[in-house]
Amino acid sequence: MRKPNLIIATVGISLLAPIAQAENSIAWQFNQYSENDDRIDVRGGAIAIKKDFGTDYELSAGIDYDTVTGATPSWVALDGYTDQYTKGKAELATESRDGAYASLLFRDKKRNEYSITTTYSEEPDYVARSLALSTVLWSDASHNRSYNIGFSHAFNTALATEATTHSKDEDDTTNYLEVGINQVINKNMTLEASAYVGNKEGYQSNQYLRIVRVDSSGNRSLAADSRPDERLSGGISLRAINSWSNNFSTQAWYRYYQDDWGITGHTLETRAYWDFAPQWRLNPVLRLGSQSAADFYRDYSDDVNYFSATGFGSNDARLGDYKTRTVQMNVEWLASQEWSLNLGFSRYTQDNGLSASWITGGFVFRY
Amino acid sequence: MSKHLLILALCAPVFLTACSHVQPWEKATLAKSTMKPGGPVPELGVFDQHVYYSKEAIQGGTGVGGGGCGCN
Amino acid sequence: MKVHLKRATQGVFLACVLTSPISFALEVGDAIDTKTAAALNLPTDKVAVVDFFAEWCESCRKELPLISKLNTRLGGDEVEFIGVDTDDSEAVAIAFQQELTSQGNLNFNVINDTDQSIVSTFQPLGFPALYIIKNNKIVGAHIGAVDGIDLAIENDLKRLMETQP
Repeated sequence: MRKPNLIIATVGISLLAPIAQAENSIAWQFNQYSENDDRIDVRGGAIAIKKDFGTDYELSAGIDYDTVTGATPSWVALDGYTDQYTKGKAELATESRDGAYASLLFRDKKRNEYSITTTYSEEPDYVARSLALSTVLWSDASHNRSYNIGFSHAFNTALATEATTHSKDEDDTTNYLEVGINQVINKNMTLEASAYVGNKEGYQSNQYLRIVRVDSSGNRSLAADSRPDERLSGGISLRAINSWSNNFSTQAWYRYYQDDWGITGHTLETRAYWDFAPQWRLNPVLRLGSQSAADFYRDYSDDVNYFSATGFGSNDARLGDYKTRTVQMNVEWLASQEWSLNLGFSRYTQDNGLSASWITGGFVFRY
Repeated sequence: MSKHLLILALCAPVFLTACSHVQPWEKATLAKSTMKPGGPVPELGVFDQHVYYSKEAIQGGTGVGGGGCGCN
Repeated sequence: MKVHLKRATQGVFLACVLTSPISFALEVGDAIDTKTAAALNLPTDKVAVVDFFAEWCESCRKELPLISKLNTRLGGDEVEFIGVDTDDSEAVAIAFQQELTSQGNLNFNVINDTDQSIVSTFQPLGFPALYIIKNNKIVGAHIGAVDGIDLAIENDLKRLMETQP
């Protein structure tokens, strides 16, 4: 992550969209997010529009906006000492971030799908851009199996400011590939398996965080967070979707992750959709995750939480060893054929002490 | 033992093909919005992904979609 | 354990071979049996355009208004449009048809195929599925979503009139 606040996922977002539902819609969502310990607060929202042109073309576009305030853990000088540091907080200025995306989908005579998606987001110290291509290829006319391929290229720039540890703009690029197979098992169930690989090159250190370096003489100094300029990652994911009755279905998703920074991770997410009353739907979600620490990570609470004069080093907790849990409840009111309203509450915890809650709500108008 | 496992693994896709032929007109349930990976309101999950991308070091594998109704 | 695994492997292999899907889809040139023709109430003196659709099918929702417009222009002495709703719930089928009719998007007769026996006879390889039938014989077909389905049907009908007046 570039900096200790929320930044829209520019690489992943274009591959997140589910298979296009041929239905015109306008959706608006608001989000309010806050972390414990007076860390980060984010308020924002998004608007998305989807429009079909005949049976073969579909255009999607959207904008999103956030305002971020708060502070993040960082080393600060200990009062009265010139070379002693303690865990403090780095205050963030209030800043806004705006983003946009556009996507065009085409279906051929065999109903194979081809999509191109572009995203752009900008904030005072970071610019993110990406282009993604994806395709869904049916194995035969019965459409019981599809092969899915997606590729994205992101090009980002961390802009230098007075507060950043780098004095000139720094770039990074990411190439990402995911291939998968989706199989209809029976009238009520589908299974999907995919494999993914990503390579990120360029500046990947956190432009605000600092580490303490100790030289051979024992002198301490604050230095910039330092990470390798290349990161190769990959893994597999599996998804099972099953309808148990006319008004109840479940989804289960598992992901394994591994990279050459030494991080491995597992994520399991289960969700249910329960139409418990006419026009009302409940959607509980439980997500569990775990990850191991990066090779060059040290926690603030470690006995040795400083680094030698040279080499990589980071105290960024996101690179640490922790387990995560998200408990979420969403409710949707299907007011009419055209309108639906939704509201969701989420509680997220990491066992390293970070916790966050967010509310999201909005509407979808289908036409 | 490993030879049989290999045969099972190779045969599995054929088995899946052979045993899951849902006819195009039988896809009413699969066509439901709740059967799509993003659910009926994909927008609800977008902010979640922002949080996970921002607060965790692992990413990817969130899928490209496909299958299901196939009636578009 | 080894014996059970061996037997399981052999069983899976056998299942793979014996249960391979075999399609008996009706194609252009095939005749419609008398029972199905009666169920569809196929006319003997006109060309029939038979459209299979369902409430859950988004492409069907797009095509039905276009086919209805075509029915307004061409339906009558020479061409009859027949809809076949394959929803397995009659309540869902009727509600769907009423919704479309009230919007002016469905103006031809529809047969409710709730037991899916008619569509099972045709076994289309995609959905929606549209067949052009003359003298109980399939003379044209459009399987799956087709952009500009009304133009496609009209062209087929013109060709048919020219070759078989």
